[in-house]
Amino acid sequence: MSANDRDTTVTELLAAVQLKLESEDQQGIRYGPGNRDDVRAEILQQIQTGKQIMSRLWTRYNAAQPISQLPVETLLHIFSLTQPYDHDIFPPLTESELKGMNAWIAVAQVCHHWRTIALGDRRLWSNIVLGPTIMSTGDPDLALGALVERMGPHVPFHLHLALQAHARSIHPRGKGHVYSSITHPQVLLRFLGANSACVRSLHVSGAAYMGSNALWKVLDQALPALESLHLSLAHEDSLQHFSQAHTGGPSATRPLPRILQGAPSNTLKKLSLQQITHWPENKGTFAGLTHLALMDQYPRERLHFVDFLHLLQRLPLLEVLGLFFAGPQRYDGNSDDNEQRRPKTSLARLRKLEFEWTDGQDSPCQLLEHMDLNNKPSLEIVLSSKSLYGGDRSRGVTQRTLPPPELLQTVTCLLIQNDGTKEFLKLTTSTLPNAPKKGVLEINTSMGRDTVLSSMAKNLPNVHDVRVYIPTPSRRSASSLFDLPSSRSSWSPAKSQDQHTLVDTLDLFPKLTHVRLEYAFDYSALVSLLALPVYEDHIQAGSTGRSRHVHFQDGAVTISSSSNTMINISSTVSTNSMMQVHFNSGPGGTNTMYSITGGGVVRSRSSRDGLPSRSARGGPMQEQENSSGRLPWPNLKVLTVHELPTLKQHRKDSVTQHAVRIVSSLYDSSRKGTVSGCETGDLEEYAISRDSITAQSDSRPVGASGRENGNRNGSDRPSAKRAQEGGMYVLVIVPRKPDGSLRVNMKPLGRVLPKVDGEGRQEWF
Amino acid sequence: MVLLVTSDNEQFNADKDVVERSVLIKNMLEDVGESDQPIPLPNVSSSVLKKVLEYCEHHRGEPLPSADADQSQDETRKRTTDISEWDQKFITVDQEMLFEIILAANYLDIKSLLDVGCKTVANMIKGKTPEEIRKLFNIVNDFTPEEEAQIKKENEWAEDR
Repeated sequence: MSANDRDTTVTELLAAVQLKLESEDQQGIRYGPGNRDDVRAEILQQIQTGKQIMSRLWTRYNAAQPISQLPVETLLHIFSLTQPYDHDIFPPLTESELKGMNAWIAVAQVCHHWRTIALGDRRLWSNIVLGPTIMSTGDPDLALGALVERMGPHVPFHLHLALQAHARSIHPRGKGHVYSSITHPQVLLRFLGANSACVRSLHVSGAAYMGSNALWKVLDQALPALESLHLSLAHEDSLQHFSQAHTGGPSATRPLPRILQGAPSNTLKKLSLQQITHWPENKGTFAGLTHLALMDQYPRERLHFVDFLHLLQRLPLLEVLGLFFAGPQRYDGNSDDNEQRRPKTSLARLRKLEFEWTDGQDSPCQLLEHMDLNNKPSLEIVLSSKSLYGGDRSRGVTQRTLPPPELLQTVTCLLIQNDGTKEFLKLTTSTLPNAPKKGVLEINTSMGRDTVLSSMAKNLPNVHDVRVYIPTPSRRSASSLFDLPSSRSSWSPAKSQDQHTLVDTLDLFPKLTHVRLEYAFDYSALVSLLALPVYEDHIQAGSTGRSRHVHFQDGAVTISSSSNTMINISSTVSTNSMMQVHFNSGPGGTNTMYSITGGGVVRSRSSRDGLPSRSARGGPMQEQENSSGRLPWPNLKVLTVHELPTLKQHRKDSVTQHAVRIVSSLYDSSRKGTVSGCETGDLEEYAISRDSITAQSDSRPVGASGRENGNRNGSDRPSAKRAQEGGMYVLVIVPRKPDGSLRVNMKPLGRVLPKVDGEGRQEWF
Repeated sequence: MVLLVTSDNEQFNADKDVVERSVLIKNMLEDVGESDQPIPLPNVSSSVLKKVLEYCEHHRGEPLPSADADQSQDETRKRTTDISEWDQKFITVDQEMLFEIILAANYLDIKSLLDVGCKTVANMIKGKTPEEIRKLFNIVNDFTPEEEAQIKKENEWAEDR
């Protein structure tokens, strides 16, 4: 290389080319009639070269961008993070969950640099998700070949075939079978045959295809390195075909595919079968399984209970067992008593059990009773019951739906749902090996609540946090919780001795440190209730009982009558872990305090001037000067009371507007008073002022005077934005200040907020 | 206290247990032993080191991630690129600083910070078309039209997933 060559820069070379072109153009090039084709071809070649030069220059330009500073391995790591899953997930993703799984491939189409990096790492391409219309144009063999080229030869890969959507779109009437090119069994057979040694996972979900004899051949394919197999056959034909083949029915003309009944597999570790009821009779075929999931089995065609236990015993390496609306037939108890007394099935390596079921017949409790789960401190048991009661939403949790009492302590997650959306009961316990065992219990039904809680308290002494959601918006909510009077008619607080308040029930949990009560309770309703004449006896003589105003002062709520007497209501958790609701009928009047204690609600009364109190008209509620005896929840650290907006309001407005409305209604009631000093909580969303509710950093009203507009103040604070979007905030009244004042907070609830169904009923959670 | 010197010659004093979240610095300190000698960090500017130290300070005392911490995905349904609230606020910086932080985390061998950076970039990319990604990072399409057509054809198989 000469010195000149060495010193010549790209810029100089390009300038030289440009100069040359200009010079030749100025001279004027003449083409003879004979060589025009050659000239055109030469110019086209030059243009092509020019394009390539341009492409290279843009590549250089890209290299100067900040992101190009990142090392190749870092970019590669980022690319891998854009892949939404990996093959270890068990049970494998459903067809709908696979949606968008190939979107990450965009990174290989951005620029040369990124493409080179992406194509250079074969692991990125080892998760192949093939949908129904893949390569519906072109040559599928060629395309699959290109894919294998990206993966590289002999690289293990995981193949997901999601075929169902296409099948449905093509066969609206369910007749016939048309294959998209790549999913044609012949194409798949060739592909799998050519790469059989590399297939580590084969996950097939697809309905209509499975009925095809041709596709069954795909499952006959020998895949010696297969570690994970998932078959989801959500199609009646295929299921019948499968069942009949197995049960010797009239159509049992072909054997089960080799992959399901062939020689024992030494490699298969994970097996997941959906809509295949009869597999487990392939005893001994999968002795090396570590993961087994069975889903959506027909109840009447399942294995008998004892056979199922035999099956489990033949899986000594099993670590994860999932039964989702599947498992054995229920043991009827009349068959073989010897079998009933057989030793419990023990799976030495079991670390996770996950059961999902629909009703009592399906309940895993019986199976659990026959499994030896002792001495497995790190075992995770996840129980989830969905669509528990079909259309009957009124029923709650019963003992029958719970696992055996002795097993409760082993359960790490228990979820009982209705319709798959509403959680009746949720129990989660910590599984950290060296941490003290703790549990969080959430319950969202009134039906059977106290019975279940009592049982839980007996068997789950480690529960430290109980969250109770009261689903029905009612003026009596407060009464059901705390035995407070809610109206004149219900002012009969004669609590019989065998009646327990929720407070009593929760007191059965010995280690309770956190209680959260969340209920659909319109605080403004309480305020209006308190203005009813039932409280007249708390108001000094002279009150008409007609004209009452709600008054806020320093966070406390006061109701005053036209006679200028007042009832102050303040709600607090006192330092001795006692919930108190305090009524004060004004200067010189009577103090009435309802204290929630271990013995229930106790009302103690005294007059502010120290004189003995008058008797209340309220009825025979226990009265004493001071609450005595053991306090409930002696270890309590945090009590949270969340009051949710009511149904009627929710139907009309967003949740934010609800909150604003409720606060507004409180304010509206206090038009003659003042609202001041109300704290707005950590989020500082709203401040309450005399004339409006205002976003704290903005003077424009969003409340009483501007409530229809919601939070339209243009604030770009993230929290304000969230509030504007709705669904994030509810009114929270947290009675936690030791001096008895009431805080009005706006706070994110952190959960899905109520939805109203078509019939106007409300689902709270 | 450990004295660190950045590429622009600024000096930073930091607690040992803070700077030892960097495996590089930890190893250097172990190699050198007790010493007052400043540790030069020629690949890290002062503005970036300030951010890095802020991160290390916040996460002081937390267990260091093991090398195979990401291996087990068994229990999660999808790979997660979730970032904690504080980390998210911390990493809300302009792109240039974001990449500088990633580079520094890579150089200093602070795995958790590298993860936060990479997850942030991955989240920026997720769900975007190639053209949107180019626009985001100021990258120009450097494929020739022929190459682009070929790429499109090659990726037809992936389009419906």
